[in-house]
Formats: sequence, C-alpha cells, structure tokens
Amino acid sequence: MHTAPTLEELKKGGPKVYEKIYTAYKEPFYAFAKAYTSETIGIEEAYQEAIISLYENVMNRKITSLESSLKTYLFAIGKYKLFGQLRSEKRLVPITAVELPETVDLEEEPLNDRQQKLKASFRKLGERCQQILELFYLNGYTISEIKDIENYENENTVKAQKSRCLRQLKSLIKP
Amino acid sequence: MTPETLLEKYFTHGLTPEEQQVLDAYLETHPEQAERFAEEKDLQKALIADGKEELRARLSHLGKTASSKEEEHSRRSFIKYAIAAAVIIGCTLFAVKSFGPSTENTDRLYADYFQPYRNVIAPIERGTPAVTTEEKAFESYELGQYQKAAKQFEELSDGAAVSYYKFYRAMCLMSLEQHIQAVAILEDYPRSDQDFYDKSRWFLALAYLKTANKTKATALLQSIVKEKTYNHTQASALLEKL
Repeated sequence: MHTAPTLEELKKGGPKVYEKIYTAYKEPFYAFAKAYTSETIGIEEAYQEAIISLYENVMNRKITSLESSLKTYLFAIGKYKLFGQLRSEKRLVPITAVELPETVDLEEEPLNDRQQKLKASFRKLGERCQQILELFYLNGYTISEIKDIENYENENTVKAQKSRCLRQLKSLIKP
Repeated sequence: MTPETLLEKYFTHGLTPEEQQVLDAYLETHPEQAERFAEEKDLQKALIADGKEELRARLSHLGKTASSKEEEHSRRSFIKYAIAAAVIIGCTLFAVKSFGPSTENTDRLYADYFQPYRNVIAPIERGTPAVTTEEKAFESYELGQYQKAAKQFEELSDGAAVSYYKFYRAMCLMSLEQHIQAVAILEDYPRSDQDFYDKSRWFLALAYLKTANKTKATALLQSIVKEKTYNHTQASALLEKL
C-alpha cells in the first residue's frame, strides 16, 4: 500500500481494506512493540485487536475525520492494547499513560438482547434487503449514493425499500 | 438541517456535538421516532459486531499464513532460493514476451474482488461450541481453516439434499488457490438452488480470471450485469477494468 486509505475507503471498503492495512503496517508495529516485549504472540494479538478496534470506531462513526495519520491512530490503539496485555500478565510497562485520539472508544460492550436477535436474524433476509441495510447502516452510504449504486428509480424508492426491509427484519425477531 | 437529514447523517457520517444536541432535543419530543431510532442503532451495532467477527477470522488467518510462510523461508538456503527465483523470473519474462498480456492485472483484480462468501447457513455464536457436523464445518470456515473446512464440506455434500455445501467447498478451494477444482464445482452448480446459484456465477467469473479464462469471465460478468443478479454492481465495475 503506497498511500493510506481515506476515511471513506475505511467505511466503504470492507474487510479487504483492513487486511491491506494489516499487511502494510505489520513490520513497523512489530519493530515498535519489540521495545516493550519480545513475545511475538502477544504483539500479534495486540496488533490484530488494534485493527479490529480501528474498524469498530470507524463503523460506529466515532472517528469522523482522520486528523492525525492513520498510522498514528493505529499505533496509539495498538500501544494501548499491548500495554493492557502486559499489565494483565503482571509485566512492567512505562508509567506514562497512552494518549488515545480524543474520539476513539475502546470499551467493549457486549450486545444486548435485541442486538443479538438482530445479528442472528439478519442473514435470513433476502439478498436485496441485506445489501441495502448494510450499505446504509454499516458502510455509511447515503440514500442518494445507494440510489446510484443500486440503480433505483429515485431516492423515495430507496427509502421505501429500506423501510420494508426494516419491517421485515423486525418481524423476524418478534417472539 | 431537518430531523430526517440529521438522522441520515448520524448513520452515514456521524454528527458533530452541536448536531447531536439538536437531534437529541428533537427525539425527546418525538417518542415514536426515538423508538425507531433506537431500533436502527441496535441494527447498526449488530452489523458492526458481525463485521468484527468476520474481520477477526480473516486477520487470524492472515497472521497464521504469514508466520508459516516466514518459517518456510528461513529453512531455505539463500543460494537455492536465488537460483530458483532467477529461473522463475526468466521463464515469466519469456512467457510474457511470447504470449502477450501478463496475468498480473487479472491476479490483482481477483485479489481486489474476491472475498469468501459469508456463512449464512449456521452462524457461529462465540462461546457456543459447534455440535453438529454442519456447525463444525462452518466453524472451520469462519476460522479460516479452509483445508479442514473443504474436507468437511465434501463429506457433507455426499448424499445431501442441499447444494450449498458444494458452494462453500468451492469458497474454501478458491481461498486455497485451487481454482481449477473450484471451477468444476461452480460450473455444475444446480439452478434449483436459485439463491446460491446466483452467487455461484459471480464466484465462477472470478475463478475463470484466475484460470486464465478471461473470455468466459467477461461473458459471465456481462450476463450478471444484464440480469442484475448477485453482485451486478461489482461485476460492472470489474468489467470496466478488464
């Protein structure tokens, strides 16, 4: 990867973008982490978790602009994860707190009951519904963009289809 | 900004603190809309959780592939590797010069467009062990253990009433770079399973690219675009690059 992906690419590019990030920054991250530990399993785990946290914060719209470089975000999260791991193993870590970018949230909240049911039932929807709901809620495409990508007649048609799909999903999770 | 615009922006780009305040004030006085909004937020969380699981499996697979590749490399002597590389480069250059356009472009396009299709049959819940043979096969699949999963799907396919085990076996084979075998499965995929049949055509087009069958790939992609079946948007974009 010669240039880092933009925020739009991170939102819309799917897992492939994050795989490319993984490959591009792995060596520098390992070089950075080896100052604190020589155990590659721990470094690998912290690195993968950092990329997953990056994904989550982009998709949750907690990161709305990349004010620092992508590498800065990733390494800050990775350092936080690594230090957390070392502390849990009762290993010594530097006293200075890790400075995370302001909007990043690393709290892992388990899914509530309704969220679990939605996750389990989502793939029971037809392909068209899955597509439109993912484009909007996951990848952050606007109604106007969805109209163009999916060749809908107009924006009202997109909204109507989206509403139908939401109702369908709701009926799937009703007891 | 209207409430509708704010709601759309919340899900697509996120809101500034000021915009969030305006939205919160609106929802306080519109309880029905607030309830719908809460349901939509739950859906977003569910989709992100699903995406995280997929990403975790992919990164885990990447990590394992990378480390086994590193071990392999360190076992070879430098001289043997250098000689092998020189021979390969020489042959490749000869093939490129003799036979026209290289496969680099199609390989790159394949890498950009191929993603093994999600497990929509038996989604694995974390913390819940796989019990049935089907669940175990899909667990292997989600963990990126494609060699194991391919064998499990092959066994499940024998005498099965459903065809999708063959589809997922093809996904495994494509992930393992065994495209000739994947083509054989996908070419024979039954139309009676309409949902997976549509998907099989997309993946067959990609497999044709990897087996240097650009003509068949192009024809199939054109058909997908014309009939607006699975991944027709991506098929259109891919055709422009071919």
